[in-house]
Formats: sequence, structure tokens, C-alpha cells
Amino acid sequence: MTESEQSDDTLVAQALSGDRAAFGTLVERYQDAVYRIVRRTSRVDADRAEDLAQETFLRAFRALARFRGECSFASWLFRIATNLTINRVTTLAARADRTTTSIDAPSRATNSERPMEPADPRATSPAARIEREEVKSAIESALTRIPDDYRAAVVLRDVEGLDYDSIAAVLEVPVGTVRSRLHRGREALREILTRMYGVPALETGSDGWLR
Amino acid sequence: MNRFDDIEPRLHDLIDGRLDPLEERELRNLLARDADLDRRFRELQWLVGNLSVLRDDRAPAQFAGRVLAAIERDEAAPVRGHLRRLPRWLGSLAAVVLFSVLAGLWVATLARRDGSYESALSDRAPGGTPAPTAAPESAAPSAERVDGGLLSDRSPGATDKEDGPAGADRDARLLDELLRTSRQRQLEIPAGDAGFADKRPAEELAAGEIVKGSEPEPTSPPATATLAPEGGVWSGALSQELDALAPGPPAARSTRPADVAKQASGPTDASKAKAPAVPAAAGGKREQAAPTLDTLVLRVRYPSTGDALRRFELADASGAELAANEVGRASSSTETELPPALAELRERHRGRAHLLERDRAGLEQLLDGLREEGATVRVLTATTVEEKDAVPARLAWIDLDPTTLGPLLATARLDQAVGAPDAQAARTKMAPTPGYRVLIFVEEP
Repeated sequence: MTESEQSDDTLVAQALSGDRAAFGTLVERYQDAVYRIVRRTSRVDADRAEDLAQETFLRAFRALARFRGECSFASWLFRIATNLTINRVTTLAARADRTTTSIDAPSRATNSERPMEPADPRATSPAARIEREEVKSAIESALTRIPDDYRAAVVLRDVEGLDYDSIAAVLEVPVGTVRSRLHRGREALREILTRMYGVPALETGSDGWLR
Repeated sequence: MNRFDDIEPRLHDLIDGRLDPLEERELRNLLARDADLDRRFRELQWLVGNLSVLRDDRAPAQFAGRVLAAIERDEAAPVRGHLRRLPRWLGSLAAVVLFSVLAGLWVATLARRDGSYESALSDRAPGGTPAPTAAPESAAPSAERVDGGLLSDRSPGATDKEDGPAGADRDARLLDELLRTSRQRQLEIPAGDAGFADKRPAEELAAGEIVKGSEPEPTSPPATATLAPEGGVWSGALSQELDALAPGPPAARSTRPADVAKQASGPTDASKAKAPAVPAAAGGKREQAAPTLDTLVLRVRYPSTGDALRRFELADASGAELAANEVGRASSSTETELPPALAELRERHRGRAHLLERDRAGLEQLLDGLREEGATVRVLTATTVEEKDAVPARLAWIDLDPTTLGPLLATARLDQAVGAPDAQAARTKMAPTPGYRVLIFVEEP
């Protein structure tokens, strides 16, 4: 069995015994998710998101001995990421309140500093790619406008695909709270997108994707 | 209420696949019949479907390598690495040790300062001010004068178990000085906040207006800016009264043989409960207790108003009974059941009826009105706040914050019982902060 096929628990045990490569495998396994979580929940730009993601893994490595397996490694890791993000965002927001910013400065909400790698195999034609980028841009913009709590729930559920219980473990809130935050977050996004961009659902195909 | 409000959560549950087949079928039937709801559902469906475009985001290339390199660097940093391996509680322990050291230094500094003050008193004695050791009986007249003769049980030749007469009187006087100066330090607050709730400038309060028979202490150190040495100002008079009436030595420590024997056996249960850290103040180790003003003051307060009244021989049989009468404090607050004395007072003060309304009058307003009518108002004593205390008729009371001497409850009562009004009782319960209950005796003309 290769390292990449081993379970998280096995890799954690190996990492605890000093196997750096095992921890490297865990990093590779979750780096994209962690990166997305810190980026989407914190509204920071790509460079800062990379720093936060790196710090998340660094903290996880330092705290690995305290990982008791009470939840999945992924949930534990995502919890570190969200806590770090929330703390950092709070600090940044406090700093931003004390500083003045140029009105010409690019908005953090655009998140377009770094081109994203296209991942969806359906977006093959240039037109489809453009449309897809437009949808992505619109959703990114809308995401930045909803409360942090709602955004975290939406990102963990609808972007990362975690179930309610896992989200509750990550956010350290009851499942009922996850549910209400998720619903309210989605409603807020729907309203923003509908108000700003019309009624996208009517312009989509039967599979829900923009045509 | 939006007509979708109750159905909306189910739309999300449908999207998340959290409905059972029956519920799902019902909801889909509903969607088929309601175009608006269906449109809303499709918008949500579109949103959830397209949120996954954000999964396009990927960590930058070589990210894992950079993380591992960062870990290497982190581990290589010797100090940080070692520090991180230390148990977390060590940090807390270090903080506790540091705090203890700082607190010890602070206490030592205060003790040294009080020692210096004591030396200064000794040095000052030959220069006209009564010498602490040369005139052991000088404190007794002072106390008796200020308390209006109520402290009649103290004899000049009192003895002290530990140091003999001279030592006891010296300690008593030093403690008295300490209390007085500490009190003055506490009273060095802006004039607008000085004493009770009286916001008037001190100059507007006539001397002797409040405290009858209170005279300046000949042995008092120079008064502060907010303290009028001639008396009459709230803060000054209060300070003198508090100092004089504090039953620590020499003012109130009984020297009757029976009481001396009791004192020799240590503090009473009540005083133990109030201030377990103070016994040193009564003997020769006062440097240890001196810096803690509140402890000293609390030690010399009475455990209850009833005790205080009895101590000052103010509580007659009915008063003492009232003080212990739980039923009394539950007396109704309705006007028809007010004590006859208050009703009578209200009748005679029709123009100032508002002063006597519950929860409307500040103490100073009430006392102003009473003084204008010729009533004599005296601060009798102070004691710790105890909710069970009951106050005899014609006694107003106010609770003071122990640090600022500002009022905890800015109301005065002429009721027979403390906390008779329900609202007041509730507030008393909500503010159980230990403080001083100053009893104010109102002698009607």
C-alpha cells in the first residue's frame, strides 16, 4: 500500500513517530481544501490565503500529538484552518479600521489576483469557460457580502461537501446551528445574486449549469 | 411573515437530500402547484450547484514542499522549538509566580510606607501635636466627643493584653491614625462625587449642617483639598464619623473587664468572618495588615445593624427586636401602611412630598428637606451591608461603595424596615457588594 492510499489515522501515527513524508502526504491530501477554506472564509487574496494555509499545516504539525481522534483528521484540520482564519480576519479587520485605504486600491472581494486553474471538464469551449468564470466571479463577490458565520457554513457544505455533522465538528457548534447558518447563508446568496444578476436559474440548462 | 418562511428549510433539506421519500414527494407536489415556490427552489438549486465552481481553486504548486520546509525551519529554531515542547501549564505557572512576586513587592512597599508614616508620627510628637506615647488617654476624649458620648464604656486606663497600657494605646492610636489617613485617601475624590450622592459643591454645605456635635479632631493630620477640617462638609464629617465610630482601637474597642477578656481571646466569630486577615492589626504586627485598608475597616464594622445599634446603646428593646424581626422587613410598601411617623412627616412636608417618595429622592435632597424643617441629621455609624438588617424607625440608611464611598443605592429610607419596597429589595439582592451601611439618625423637631 502506498502512502497516498493509507488512511489519515495511519499517516498521523507515522508522522508522530517522526515520518515527515507521512505528514507531507497529509498535506498533499488536504492542501486544496484547506487553501479554499481559508481563502473563501477569510476573503483574503490568494497570497495571504497561501500563507494562512501554510500556517494551518504548521500548527497542525505542532499540535499533532494532541490529536486524539475524537473527530476525523480532516475535521480537526479544518477546525484549525477556520479558527486561524477567523482570528486572523478579526485582527485584519481591526487593523483595517485603524488605517485608511485608497479608494483606488483593488477590492479584496475581487479575488482575481491569481488565475485559477480550470478544473471542470465540462468547461471546454472558450465561451463556456468565460461563462463559468463569470459565474464564479459573481458567486465570489456575493460570498464576500454575507456574514462570516454563514459563509463558513456554506463553504464547508457546498464547496467542500462536508456533511452537517462534520461541519458542526469543524465549527464547534450544534448541528441545528449549522443548518440554520447554512440555510440563511444560501438565502442571502440567492437574494444577492438575484438582485445583482437577475434570475440565473431561468438561464440555466436542465443540469443547472449556465449555458 | 413570508409565506415561504415555513417551507424554506424544507427546500434546503430537499437540496441536501435530508428529506425522507414521503416528505420529498409532498414537497415536489407542492412545487408543481406553486410556480413562485418552484422558482425559488430552482434558484437555490442553481446556487448550490454553482457554488462548486469554487472548487476550482487549488493550492499553489509546490505548496506541500513549502509547508515541509517551513516545518523544518520551525524545528530548527532551537529556542522556539524547546519552548513549544514545554507543557502549557508552565506558562500559567510562570504568570502566577510573577503575579505573586509583584503583589508581594506591592504589599512590602505599602508596609514600608506605613512604617515611615508611623515614624513620622513619632518624630512629630514633641512638636506640639499630642505625642502618641506621651498621652495615651488623648484618643479617648476624641472618640467620645465625636460619637456624642455614646462610647462611654472606654476607660482611660484600659489595658492591652499584648503590650500593656502604653503599648495598647499606642497601637490603638496608630491604628486610628492609619484608619483616618486611609479614609482620607479614599475620600480624595472629586468634590462632585464626595460623600453620598451629594453633588453640590462643598462650599454650599454649611458647617455643622449635617453632623451635630461633630468637631474637628485635634490629632487629625492636615486635611486634604476635599476634606474640610472644620467639619460640616459631607466628606469631612463622614470621614470623621467613620474614623471615630470605627470600633477599632481606641474609639470603640471596649475596655470593660469582660470585653477585655473577650478581646484577649481573639476576635469574635463575626469579626473573624468579616476579616480573617487582620488579627495582626490589633497587636504589634500591624505592618502586615496595615496596607489593606478594606480589611482593616471591615474588621471594625459590626456584623449587623442591630449589633451596631446595641453597641451604641441606641437600640432599645423595640429597636433590637425590630432589628431581628424578619417580619418587619417584609412590611408592605403601600402608603396606607407606612409608619405613622413617616405619614406624619409627609403631612407636615406637603411641599416636599416628592422627597419622601420611594425611589425618587436622593439622600441629599431628602436631608435638605428635613434640615429645612428643623430636623437634626446625624451620621451615627457605619456597618457592613447585610440584607437581613432592619433599621428602626427614623433611621435613614444608605449603602456606600467601599472604595469610592459613593452610594451603591442612591436612595434613602425612612421606613421601619430595610428594603421594604419590593423594587428596593430586589436591588439590594442584586447588589450584595460588601460596603458600608451608614445609619443616619433623624431627630424630628
